[in-house]
Amino acid sequence: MRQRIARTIGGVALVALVASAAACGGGGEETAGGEACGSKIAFFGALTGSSAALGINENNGVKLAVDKYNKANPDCKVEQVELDSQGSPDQAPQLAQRAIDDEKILGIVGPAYSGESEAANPLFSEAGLVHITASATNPTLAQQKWPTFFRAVGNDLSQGPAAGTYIKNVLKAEKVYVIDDQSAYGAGLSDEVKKLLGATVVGTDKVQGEGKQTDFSASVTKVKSSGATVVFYGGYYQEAGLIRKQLTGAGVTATLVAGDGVNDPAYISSAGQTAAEGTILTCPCQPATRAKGTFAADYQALNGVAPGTYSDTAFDAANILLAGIKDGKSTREGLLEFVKGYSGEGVSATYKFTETGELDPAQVKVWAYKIQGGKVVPDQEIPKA
Amino acid sequence: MSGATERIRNDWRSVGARWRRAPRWMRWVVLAAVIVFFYALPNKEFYQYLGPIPTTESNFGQVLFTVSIYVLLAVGLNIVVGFAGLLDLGYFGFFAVGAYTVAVLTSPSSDLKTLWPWLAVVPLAVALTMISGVSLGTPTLRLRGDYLAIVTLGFAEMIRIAATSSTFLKGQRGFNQIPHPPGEYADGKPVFGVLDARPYYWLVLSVIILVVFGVRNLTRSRVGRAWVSIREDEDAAQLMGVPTFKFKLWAFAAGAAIGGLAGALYAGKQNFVNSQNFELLNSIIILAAVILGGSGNIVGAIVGGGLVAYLIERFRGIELFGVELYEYRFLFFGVILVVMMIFRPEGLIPNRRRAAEFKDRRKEVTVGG
Repeated sequence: MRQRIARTIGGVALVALVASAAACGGGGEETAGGEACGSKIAFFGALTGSSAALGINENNGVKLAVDKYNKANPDCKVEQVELDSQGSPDQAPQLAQRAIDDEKILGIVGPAYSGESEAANPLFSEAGLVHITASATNPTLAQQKWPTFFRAVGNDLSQGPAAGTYIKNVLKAEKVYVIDDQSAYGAGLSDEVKKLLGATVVGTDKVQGEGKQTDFSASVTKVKSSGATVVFYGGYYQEAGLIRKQLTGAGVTATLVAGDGVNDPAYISSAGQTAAEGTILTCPCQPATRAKGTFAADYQALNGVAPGTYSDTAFDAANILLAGIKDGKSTREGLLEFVKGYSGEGVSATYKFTETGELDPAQVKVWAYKIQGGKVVPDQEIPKA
Repeated sequence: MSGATERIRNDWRSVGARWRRAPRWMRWVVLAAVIVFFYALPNKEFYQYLGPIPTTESNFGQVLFTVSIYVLLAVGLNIVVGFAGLLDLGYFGFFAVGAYTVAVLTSPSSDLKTLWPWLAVVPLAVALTMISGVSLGTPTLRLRGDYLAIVTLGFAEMIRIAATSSTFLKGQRGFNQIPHPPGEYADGKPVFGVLDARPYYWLVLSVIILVVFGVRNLTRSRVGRAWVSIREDEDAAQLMGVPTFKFKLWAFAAGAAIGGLAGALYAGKQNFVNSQNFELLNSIIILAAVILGGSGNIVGAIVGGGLVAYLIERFRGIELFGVELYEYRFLFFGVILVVMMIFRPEGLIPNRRRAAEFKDRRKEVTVGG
């Protein structure tokens, strides 16, 4: 019996040793230099799980920004921390607090989704840790008086009406069918579109996002029998590609209009080039900035994939934080003030923030893009309604 | 191999036997020490000496809160699955009912605009969850085994899809600004603030202790004996005069109430509830936790629920051979489950009676093979 207990204790001790060795692995070495050197910025979003696609796009954008910064300032490096929330609001508070506990973390790019923002942002604002989201577009986020909240994109209220205006004035559609994926983003967009189009909307339908649905024949049948000439889809590219493919397969020639969540190369490959042809995508980003610098090539070189939805916005958001660190802001308060007063050019837009942390409305320019010959080409800027 | 597992099994059993033979005061002392340990656990002054136990990549206090919620859920599900033997695959549905009741009645973003305080809604949430448990149970508890499992699965999916699609329940946009539990320190700061998760954890821990006490008394009463008889052989129980349907409904209602209470506590801490919180996977994880820990044993359920929630977070930031363990968390989980079910189907800390049942079955198999 005694021997057995000794053996058990020995086993437990061994396991503990291994675990603690694993836990202590990867200690960072201190960098010499100024105050702000050795600071960290974190990306907060889904890197695993069913909604990880956009999170990975954004994380790679942040990675590129940090990589460029470290190459330009080799004696004063900045580290990137990845906080994988799986996109779920349950995980958000413990990760947010983990970021707050690490005093080296001066700023956050994220949270990527509106749901996890609701759960994590109260903690950030309590701790005074600045966070710039590249993709959480729910308008209510800016109305909660979080002093640390900034949004590097236009929200649903800017993009939805623009998409509606385009359908009304440019496509001159008499009958529009609206589909959304019930996500905060997709439903928000399609609500705005429905509001603007009013009676021209002949029918609406809901599908499931996050790869949960692959057969959209029910929706396709409804679109076909409604005789709509334009289909608006609020949601992301995985489903949009399949819907476009199945619409074309059923002989529906209606134009598909969608938001920036579909603006991803994967859309064209999943719909097939012929089916994707003529799709209209709205995006609160300007085409001149699309080609700015060597962003796409650098991104490809570092991450081995082409930039996707929100990669560029996340890159810009990270660069705003890095500009502050470069400016010698070594405290959270300093960086927060810096972001508040920031104005400058990024690869996807010109940035300046309002009191509530929204992107300055004058800077939100919504463009329509058209898919032609398997590429996304700029069509026209949509005037503000 | 079988010799080794047999020996481990015997070791365990001797530990259990010694525990039961120990004098009462000693058991109380150990129990008190365990409780004090868990109350002290989220304090940094205490856990920094515990070596590899605290999580490195997410805040330990916050993680402990999640763990405590899982433990509470496991204790509740253990009544249904462990004591009454009703396979419930949709237990998380009750959690959702509790959380949504709180959200709808307290959040400013709800359509009702009632804006009640959190504390006033909690009893209502528990009551409503209980009613939903009874109304789900009444037509379906005549079913058994697989059929019941499918019905409960359907229930959880109904809740999830309603939460996602109905405009009243706000889908993914959810309800924000749900109020925190009441209470203030002497200096006017709220006890249940935003940054410090410890008070919430202590609250749930206290609730767990109360619930465990209640459940333990229930299981040692006539009700508990009826549950066990139903689990072992429903027909025999019915023949011996146990009103099986009534007691099955009781088990369902009690389990549901605890699930709803967990949901209400969760909503008060998180102050945001949306449809992303309630995936089918959660129901399955809770069920797996109960079975892993030892179905039909309260301590087993606590250990199972705690381990599952804790280990998933513990995997963060640990790299083995350049692979982030966290990305493969469910693979490990699956492997552990498979291994457990082969070598120790009764769970880590089994219910003695159930372990005996499994042993009988093993004997039967060897005779047949």
